[in-house]
Amino acid sequence: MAVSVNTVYQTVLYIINKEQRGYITPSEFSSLATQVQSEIFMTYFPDGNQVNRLNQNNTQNNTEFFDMFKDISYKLYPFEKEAAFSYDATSDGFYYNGVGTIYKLGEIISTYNTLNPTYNSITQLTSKSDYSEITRSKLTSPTYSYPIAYTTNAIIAPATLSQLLIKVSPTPNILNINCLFEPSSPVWDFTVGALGQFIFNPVGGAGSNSTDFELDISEKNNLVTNILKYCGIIINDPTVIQVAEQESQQASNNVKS
Amino acid sequence: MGLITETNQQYYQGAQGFLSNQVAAGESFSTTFDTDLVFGDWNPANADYGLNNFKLYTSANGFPGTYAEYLLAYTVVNNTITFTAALPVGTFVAVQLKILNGGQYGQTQIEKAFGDTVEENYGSYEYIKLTDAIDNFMVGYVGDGKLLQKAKKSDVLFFAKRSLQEFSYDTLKSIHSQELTIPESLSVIIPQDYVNYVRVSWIDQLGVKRIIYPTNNLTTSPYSTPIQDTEGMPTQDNFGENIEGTSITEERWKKANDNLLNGQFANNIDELMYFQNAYGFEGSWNWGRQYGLDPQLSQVNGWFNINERDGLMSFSSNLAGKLIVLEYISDGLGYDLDTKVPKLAEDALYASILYSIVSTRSGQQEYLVQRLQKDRRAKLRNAKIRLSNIKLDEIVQVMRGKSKWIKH
Repeated sequence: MAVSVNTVYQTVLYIINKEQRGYITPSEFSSLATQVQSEIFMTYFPDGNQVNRLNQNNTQNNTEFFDMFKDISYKLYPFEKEAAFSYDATSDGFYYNGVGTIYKLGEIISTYNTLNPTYNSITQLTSKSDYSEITRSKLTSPTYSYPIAYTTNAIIAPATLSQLLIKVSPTPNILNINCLFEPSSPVWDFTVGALGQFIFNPVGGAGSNSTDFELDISEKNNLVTNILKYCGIIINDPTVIQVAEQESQQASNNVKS
Repeated sequence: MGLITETNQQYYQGAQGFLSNQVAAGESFSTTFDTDLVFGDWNPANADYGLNNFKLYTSANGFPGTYAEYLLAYTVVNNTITFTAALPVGTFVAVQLKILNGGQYGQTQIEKAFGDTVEENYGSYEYIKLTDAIDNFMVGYVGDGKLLQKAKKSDVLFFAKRSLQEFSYDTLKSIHSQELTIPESLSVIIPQDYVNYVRVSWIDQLGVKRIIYPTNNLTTSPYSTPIQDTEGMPTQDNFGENIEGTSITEERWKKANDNLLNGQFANNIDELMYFQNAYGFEGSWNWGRQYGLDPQLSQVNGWFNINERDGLMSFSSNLAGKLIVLEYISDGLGYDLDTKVPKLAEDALYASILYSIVSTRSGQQEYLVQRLQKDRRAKLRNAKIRLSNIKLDEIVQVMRGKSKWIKH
């Protein structure tokens, strides 16, 4: 469940305005929100890697709600989607032309559906050099059961910039990849009231550009403290920065210890 | 979920039935045989129809003797048969894989589904496919908290195939054999997937195997036979390569009278005289004369040798026209169908893959490598014993002939 952009904004305003320290405009907030959401999103990967060592050392707990690695993995669910890639004959590869920006590639499934039986094969993503070596060995050369792929780039019209291209051998009919997408930017959209005040334009409302945070609801506190940290910089108040920094650090330590 | 997914009818008869219940055209049925449907064409007039490994029959009421082959258009994708035209609701549809007796649905010889697709599946439960073994390995041995945190699929594939090759040489049962007739040239071509022979035998009138032995020191097939000039120098062609002739050694061996080698020389006086070299030829045929009979040569079944130069297996002249059975080993990877592993060796295969991957990784503790090596060795030994098919009752029966008291 996403975090409401309005809730976070109101909380932030409430805290920093408590002693008339200052005010953050909606556009400033939206920028900070984007930055903080991105930072939190990025921390999942090193944090996940760190707490996964508990799994590797066989010291991870097996409880329902306190397995930290499982919890961090869970937080990625809003960004995890299976994306269908399109084939470009000119560059002999697959590219993504759907909505959103791909952040990481996960499991690749190649489907060969003109054969009997149809193959739905897990595809090994390799480097280009590994690809060259693997295809040269008769024991490991790719087959319908064991296809391999590597990434490169190409400019595929109508785009004018180079984009991610995935080459798979043997070439499948359909390529689906479980991808992580970049979070979309949160926006606190508003209308101006009779007194010149900002009135929140709710998410999904008519003509509203408001966008909630995509992060899981459990990240609400993190969002608030991290946005506060930046707010402290904007309003030039070291106390706010210090308090927010301590809060944030404590939360992080709790997860990893 | 049980590992057997075929019904008794699918396994024994190679048949699966469906009932049409769709009014519109395009009705489809999915077969669930262990064997994938092979589809060339629906039209018997098309040559590709012969590629099909099944036949389709329909019947209005499903009673025996009422089925007729379905000869209208249909397609097959991913073992799903889709009828182009609409079938009458309630039509019984039968898919019959090709079987040696033609199956029970065809009314005429032409309609019957003759072939051996069903027979190829018989006994398949004894084996596991290599692809399944690799998938199982990835599930059971690779992942967080396991010895292999991560393993490239290509590495697993490589070591699985290498292990299967090694197992094929000395652990797995040899299931490869060819029945051949020795031509006048006394040579047969080495089988396409041949790696080494296990046994070569000629078959007598009772169908009994008579083992043929390798020539060993008797003769050889020279790998190179350059044509020499009068001074003994090899001669070359216009391209600077040595000119090769035919082997005189092989010619003489093909013409050899085997009786002079194996001691069966008393057929006529000439053979006896030859044997004693009474005619004063160069060399002599008196094998074993000084020390008595040489057991490796005192047999009448004949000899064979491998001609590596021409890729042939050559036989002694007494075997011309005889029926032989060549039993040999392959590496198990020659054909896709081959890539299967006996279940009795499945655990040994996993142990072998695991050991191979860990032992080739840098930074692995040596005690772990040693442990896995021992594990692999023990499991491989177990697999060998299991596959040796040693049964107590059979051993007892053999030992009874040795006048031994066996308690059992």
